[in-house]
Amino acid sequence: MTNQMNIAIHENVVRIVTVAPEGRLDAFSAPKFREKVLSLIADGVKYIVLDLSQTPFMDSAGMAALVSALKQCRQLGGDVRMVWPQADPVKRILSLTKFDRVFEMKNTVEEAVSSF
Amino acid sequence: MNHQASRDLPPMLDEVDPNSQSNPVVALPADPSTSAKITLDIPAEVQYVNILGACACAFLANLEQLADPEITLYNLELAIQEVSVNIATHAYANSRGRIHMSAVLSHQPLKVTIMLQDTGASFNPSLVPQPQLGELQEHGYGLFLVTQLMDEVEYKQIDGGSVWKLSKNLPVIVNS
Repeated sequence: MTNQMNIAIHENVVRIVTVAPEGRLDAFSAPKFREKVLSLIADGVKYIVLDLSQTPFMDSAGMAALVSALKQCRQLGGDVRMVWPQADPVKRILSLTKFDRVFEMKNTVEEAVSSF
Repeated sequence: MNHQASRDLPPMLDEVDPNSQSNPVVALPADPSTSAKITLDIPAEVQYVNILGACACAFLANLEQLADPEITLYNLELAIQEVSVNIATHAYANSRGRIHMSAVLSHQPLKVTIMLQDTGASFNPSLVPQPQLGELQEHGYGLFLVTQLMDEVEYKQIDGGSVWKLSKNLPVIVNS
């Protein structure tokens, strides 16, 4: 008589993609940024880290693109984390507009990824 | 298609007679020797509007007495960017045209005044709703940012177009 044990193993991998605009995120570049995020979402991505650490300038069109990404991910049951920009003036604008309350802010990409 | 691009821009408000009662007046600083001015005229297209903010910031970049220059110049650039994008995408939504900018630096107190003029369609800024800060709101931050970042913001419809006047009292280094 054998004492068999079945072990069921399921691996769940959460796909998290980091999107890092390097350069100005403004009315000119925002459409390209939106397009990129849309293509990721169409590809099944619903957890996104928006890494703004290398974004030296952002206007309201860029901010709108960030909110759009957050809305779309949440609609799919996913979410977004945002990594603080290095540039002080951009940080201040995120605080002034209370984007730091709308988004869950993190200091690094690693911290953001591990927070999902 | 409306070919407003072929129309000449009317004179800038700061180029008209400041004593004239027929024009909305923006007077130049009392003593011209204490002021400096640049003007720039660009196509009103989103791909070019960054030039305006960059030029205005370069205009002030060498002011040795300017305190907190990184924040001050960024905020000025952002305010100019927001107004310029608004002109390019709304005032010229159905036409093509140009944006004429003048920047005047005056002293005592140290202050910069930006005029942005277009020949496009006018609008009523008071009808623009305030953004619900802290909410998941995508649009509506542009005009809010302009009014928050500048000390004075005026919008006027003039003959053949509109003009925005943005003023900022510049912080200066205080020597102890």
